[in-house]
Amino acid sequence: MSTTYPPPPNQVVIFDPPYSVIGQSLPRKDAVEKVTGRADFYSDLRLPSMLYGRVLHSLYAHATLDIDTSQAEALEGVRAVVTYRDVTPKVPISVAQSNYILDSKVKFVGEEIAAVAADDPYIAEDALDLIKVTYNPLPFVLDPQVALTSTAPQVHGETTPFTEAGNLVGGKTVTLRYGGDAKSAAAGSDVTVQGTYSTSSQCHMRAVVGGCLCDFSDGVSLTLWECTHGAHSDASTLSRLLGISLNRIHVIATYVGGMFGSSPVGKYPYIATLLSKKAGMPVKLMYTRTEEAMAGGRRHDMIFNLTLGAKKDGTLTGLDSTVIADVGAYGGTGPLNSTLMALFDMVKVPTGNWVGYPTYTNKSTAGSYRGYGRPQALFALGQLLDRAAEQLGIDPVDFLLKIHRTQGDPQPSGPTLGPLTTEGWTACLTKGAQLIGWKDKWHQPGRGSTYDGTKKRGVGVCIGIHGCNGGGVYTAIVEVKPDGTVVLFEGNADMGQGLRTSMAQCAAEVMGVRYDDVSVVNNDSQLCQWVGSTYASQGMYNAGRAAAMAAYDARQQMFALAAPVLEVKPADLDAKNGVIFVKSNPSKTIAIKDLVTRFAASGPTSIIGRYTGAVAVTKQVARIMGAEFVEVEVDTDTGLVTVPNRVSVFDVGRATNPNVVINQMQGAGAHGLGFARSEKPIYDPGTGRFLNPNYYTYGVLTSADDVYVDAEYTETPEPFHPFGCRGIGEAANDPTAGAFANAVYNAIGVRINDGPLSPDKILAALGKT
Amino acid sequence: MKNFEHFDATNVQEAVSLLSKYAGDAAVIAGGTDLLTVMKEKVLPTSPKALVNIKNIPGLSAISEQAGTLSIGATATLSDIATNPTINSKYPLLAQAAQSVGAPALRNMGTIAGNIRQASRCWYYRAKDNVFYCIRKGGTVCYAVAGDNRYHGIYGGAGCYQAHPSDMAPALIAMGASVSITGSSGNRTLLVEQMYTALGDSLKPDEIITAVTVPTPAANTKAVYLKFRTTGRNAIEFPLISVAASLAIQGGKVTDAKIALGGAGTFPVRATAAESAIVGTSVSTDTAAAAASAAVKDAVPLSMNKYKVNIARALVARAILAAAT
Repeated sequence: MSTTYPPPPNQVVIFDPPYSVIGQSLPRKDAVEKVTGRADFYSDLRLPSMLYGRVLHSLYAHATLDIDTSQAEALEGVRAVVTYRDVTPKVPISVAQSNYILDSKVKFVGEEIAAVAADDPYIAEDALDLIKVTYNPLPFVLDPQVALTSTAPQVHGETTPFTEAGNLVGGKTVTLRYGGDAKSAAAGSDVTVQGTYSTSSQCHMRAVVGGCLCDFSDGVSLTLWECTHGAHSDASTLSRLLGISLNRIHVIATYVGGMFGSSPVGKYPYIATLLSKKAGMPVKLMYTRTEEAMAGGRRHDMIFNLTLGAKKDGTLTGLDSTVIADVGAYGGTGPLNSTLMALFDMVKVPTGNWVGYPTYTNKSTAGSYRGYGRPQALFALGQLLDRAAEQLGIDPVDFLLKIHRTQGDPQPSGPTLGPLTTEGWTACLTKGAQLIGWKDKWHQPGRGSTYDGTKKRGVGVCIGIHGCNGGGVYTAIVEVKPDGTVVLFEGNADMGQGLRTSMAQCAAEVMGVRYDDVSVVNNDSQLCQWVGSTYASQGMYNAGRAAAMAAYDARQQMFALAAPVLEVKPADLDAKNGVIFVKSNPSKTIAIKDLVTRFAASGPTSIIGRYTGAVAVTKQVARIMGAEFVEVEVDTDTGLVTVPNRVSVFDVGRATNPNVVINQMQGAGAHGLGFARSEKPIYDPGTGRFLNPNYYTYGVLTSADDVYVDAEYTETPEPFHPFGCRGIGEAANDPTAGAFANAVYNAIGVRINDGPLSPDKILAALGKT
Repeated sequence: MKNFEHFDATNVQEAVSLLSKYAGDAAVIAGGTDLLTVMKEKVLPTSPKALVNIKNIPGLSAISEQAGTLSIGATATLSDIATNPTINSKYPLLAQAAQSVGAPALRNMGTIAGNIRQASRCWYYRAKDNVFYCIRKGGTVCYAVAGDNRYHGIYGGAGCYQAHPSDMAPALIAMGASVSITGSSGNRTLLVEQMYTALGDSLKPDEIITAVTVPTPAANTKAVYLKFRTTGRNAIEFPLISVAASLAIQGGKVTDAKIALGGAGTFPVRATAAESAIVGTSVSTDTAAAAASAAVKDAVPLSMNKYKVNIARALVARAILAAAT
């Protein structure tokens, strides 16, 4: 291993191949614990005198309320009941919204309104029935298009200090405009395609349910065990909401049963803290599956109105767009804004106009969900591009090969964003087309053969783009122990995606120690240095970089100590398998353990390497690019769509651990297919109640469904990452719905613009209902 | 979940007398896969004061065959049925239906009697905290009619438009099976087909099913169970539409047919019009299609579930063709 250049000002060193640890499918750090059942989840943990918490959820979509808790408090075994009266001071969870831990106004069915801590879960449950809630129902609105009309009920009208006219977040639309007037550019083109596309929302439906174990018994020091995206960010929110200083908050991120963006919306850490303080005892709070689905986060459902123009040769002229995003009761604009990247940074469209309507409704809060706006945008744009290709008479793959952006191209989605640092679509499209057998399988829409009397096949393609550097400061510390083994402290939680494993590989590679000799502590807000959360597919790019660079700091220190011993300069040294050696004379060595021991008496007892650094998003945008190809078989009598073949190819930069990469792509593919085909939260129009918060009518796919993806990757190293890595966690779920919809169109020759493409819609499109 | 007394019955008589003593305030539990979810979510206005556990009653899960009749004890699990060699060789329709239920863990716990007596899976009925006090619970309204009814019944109903969720019921009906019932006033037998009422079944609160008996099909009979799950997945879900078809064929012609649909009506629907249409014909794509059209001729879909008629028609035709080959 060598370095190409000394550290630039941003302190990133690039390590070139060959590697001994990077690129190996080494066993995951959590594998043995998980398969033997020894891994502790928050629900496994118990503390002496621990109470059990339960939460009362609203039965109304919009209401003010009053609560009488006297009977519940009188029940034997009940230790605390909390309501909005216990939320003092009343600090909003998200700054721009009237979203409090508990409030006297509810804005969706399932919103938390009170909680109980009792000696056992059954007493807690019985106590919930004794809480008397008087609801004063208010008009509610479920449909974001209705919410935008002037007579619609105001979701936040009465209580928010902000003017949020017309149910828009912040009271206004968000806009982007570059290159001129896109609508007239599109309208004056050889080909103009226009379409309205709507997507479903999607619930995380992770295996774990929301909850935590909380000890704030003394009202002074808080310890919280939970599954979370970020121990530090949760500590930060707890501090702000509850007025506890950060030195007295200890958040421990336990193993997770899937996150997918779900934790930031959950109120359980705050509610549990209120309960524990009031009861003076530790509290375990665990939602049920139904409560998790009703009160947890979900994907923003969106409605796109797009107009795209192209010249005869396929050159794009303009894309005009309006996007309505249903943010639920307390959601933000994030995923709406992220549709910009998918709409404008991926294909060469010289003029772009975009108006976004982040719209409140009386539904559960929409928040982060794997893909963060891009799956919705690509469901729309992917189909629109497919239609443009058809009208132009160009093969869809050839069209995408022509119109995608390339290295050095601007990213119009953000005025401060630098140009694309790499280009991955050509290789991914080419490889994917070959693997799916595009040339043989693609046919004129609806004109393919019929199988078994009623079945039609088709193929579809969609490309995708995702960021893996959202900015922020990342930190890591490594300690080389006296025996030469290493502990890496890096506070980015492992979401189950394998971050501990990948970070350990980065550190081991740089330090020249064995992978098995690196342990990782990354779950603890007190042990790890302050750092942002694991989200936005940044784990490998940012936390992996921090791990590598802290290791590099330790390596430099070790080489400085070893050089005089081996009578060479530090630059003459390298390390492998725990042994430092002279590059020009590999028989001249000193083991790292001997080095640390040698200086322990007079100098450091162990060696500490550190890194703190940010990689500016303005320059180093780190975009992952790829393509998905889906082959479907549509049963035209039942509307059932099966997926006999599916290929996903992404340019991951460098696969630190190929098995981890493939697993992430498979998992992302399952989310993508669920979004495309079956997953949909359904609300009762009369009450606003979420009707299918369960595993038997919601449509989340299982391993028994055809979720398998032929997951492939290419490796064009990302500049400014020590090993050239990108994040793959979300990207591979982004283009699935677009590719799936195009494949269905190819099979049956009818467009379906409303996701998911469930059997009822397929049969309706075929004119059979 | 509300508190309750729990009794381990050691014999059927003890179970019946406990049920009698509680006079409607007790529930029978065996697998519990349905009952516990109803109790935990407080789906009903009241919760049972007592549970009478019958799964420890000796012999109640036995599966045996004699004198042209298969007897399946009430607490035989769906896994027991799906893997039983006799059932697989001579009553494969039952094995297919049992295998299609839920997922392995549910099949290992769920019993045949529980499956055919399970509560509604209508999402209004099942909503947590009994927020929709519907006609099936004693109220006056079926909330699905004006609400979201995309998964509901297509054959109308006496006020309730649930889609009956049992997989075993249509299979048993297509085989002419009966249930043996024991209560305070003695024993009785009832065809499975006649067990259901518009809002439940005809068992009294102090009665339990002790066994399901199935006549051995004639040698020239073939049967098949086809199931389309709620959202089109391959596991866990209840039938959006399912079809159990049993055909007796002699000399190339159908001499007898029994066809029953799950997920289609308030209770399992016997498709007698389809049976009449196919009997006397030789099965072909055309005759199967004609029978399938007859099956759905009287369907009265709700505002959002017309597509289910199409799926029902397709499945009936396919089941007839599959049973004839």
